[in-house]
Amino acid sequence: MHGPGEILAEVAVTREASFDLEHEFEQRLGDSSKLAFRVAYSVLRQREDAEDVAQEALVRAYQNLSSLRDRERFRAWLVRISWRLAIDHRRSGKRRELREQAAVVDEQQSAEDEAAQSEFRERMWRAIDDLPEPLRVVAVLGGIEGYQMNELAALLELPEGTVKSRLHLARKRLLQALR
Amino acid sequence: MSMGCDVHADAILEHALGEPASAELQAHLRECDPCRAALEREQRLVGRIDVELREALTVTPSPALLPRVRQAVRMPRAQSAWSWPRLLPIAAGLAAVATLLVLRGRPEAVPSKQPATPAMAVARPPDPPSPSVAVPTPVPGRVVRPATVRRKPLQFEVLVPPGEAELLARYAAAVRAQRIEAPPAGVEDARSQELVVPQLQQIVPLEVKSLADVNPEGVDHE
Repeated sequence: MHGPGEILAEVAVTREASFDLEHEFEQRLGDSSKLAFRVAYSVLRQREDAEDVAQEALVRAYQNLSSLRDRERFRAWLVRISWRLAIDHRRSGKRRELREQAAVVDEQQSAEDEAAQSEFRERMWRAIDDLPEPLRVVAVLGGIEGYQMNELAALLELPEGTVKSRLHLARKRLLQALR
Repeated sequence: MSMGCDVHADAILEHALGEPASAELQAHLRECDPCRAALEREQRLVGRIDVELREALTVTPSPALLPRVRQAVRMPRAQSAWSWPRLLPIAAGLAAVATLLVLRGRPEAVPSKQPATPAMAVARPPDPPSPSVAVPTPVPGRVVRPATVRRKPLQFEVLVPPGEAELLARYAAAVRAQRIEAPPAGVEDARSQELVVPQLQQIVPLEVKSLADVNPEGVDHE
């Protein structure tokens, strides 16, 4: 039986739950925004684009937070959303255009500043871009979060052994490319 | 690195990446200066890659990102956020609907029907019976068959705040699905000798426009 009183009680519960959700999201926002931004930046290498993607990823995460039963998976979930959005963004023609503009700026800076370091970094990013996606994600997250296998495994929701072998392979390929 | 050292090249690479050196490789490195130098070069390069990658990704978003996210998160919610002042009209509307439901089942005199007019709801009164309606003469203790009464279904229009129509629609659906106990209909009340007319009921929530959408002069320019 569903009477008006019960429906109003349900409304009150819904309202309380939405406040709880906002509170929880706010608590996660500081740390999570950096993670989302860095993941996006590792793909896009352009701050404005990375911020746009991070914002979109965080909004999507918030909108779907109530459906995430295991909140321990929030960071892994956010990494996946950010990564996919950034990849999609990079594939867009707009992104390519911006990237070319950014490359020109980077070249000018490298001439003024430390040319060798910039050149190395550029080669490194090219080598990272050439990695297959499963290796690229591990390499980039290792750069962001460090090489703690259990943490990377939790973020990627993969067995530690898989993460370890992928990370090793990714670093080996980078080493071979940058010799 | 000589030709004979090539067999150790991959092992040197692996060792530079942190894998333990085999006894064979350790023995070779003790004897081979070029391979030791190669190992040191590889180890330096690995260290540089790690440092460069870490530095490149130790970027922080601008301070504007968090306000942007907060704004983006709250903007779509502002229109549908629950608030107690907004719940009051809903409560009144639901109470009105409940009243109508109760009234529907109560005995009512056939010749003089007065439509219910709750305070917070705009209810469209039932249409007067058409001349062709054949109302049977009440007989005490007998069930009146619904087929003998031809009547347009009642349709109540209830004003609800924006975004709350779904809630009311759910309530109406619950009524229709008989999850809410419906009062008996179509049964003659032997005591009052009055007829209870069976009626189908439809509740149509009306969205109240936001004040921003309302023309202050009350003139619709469309």
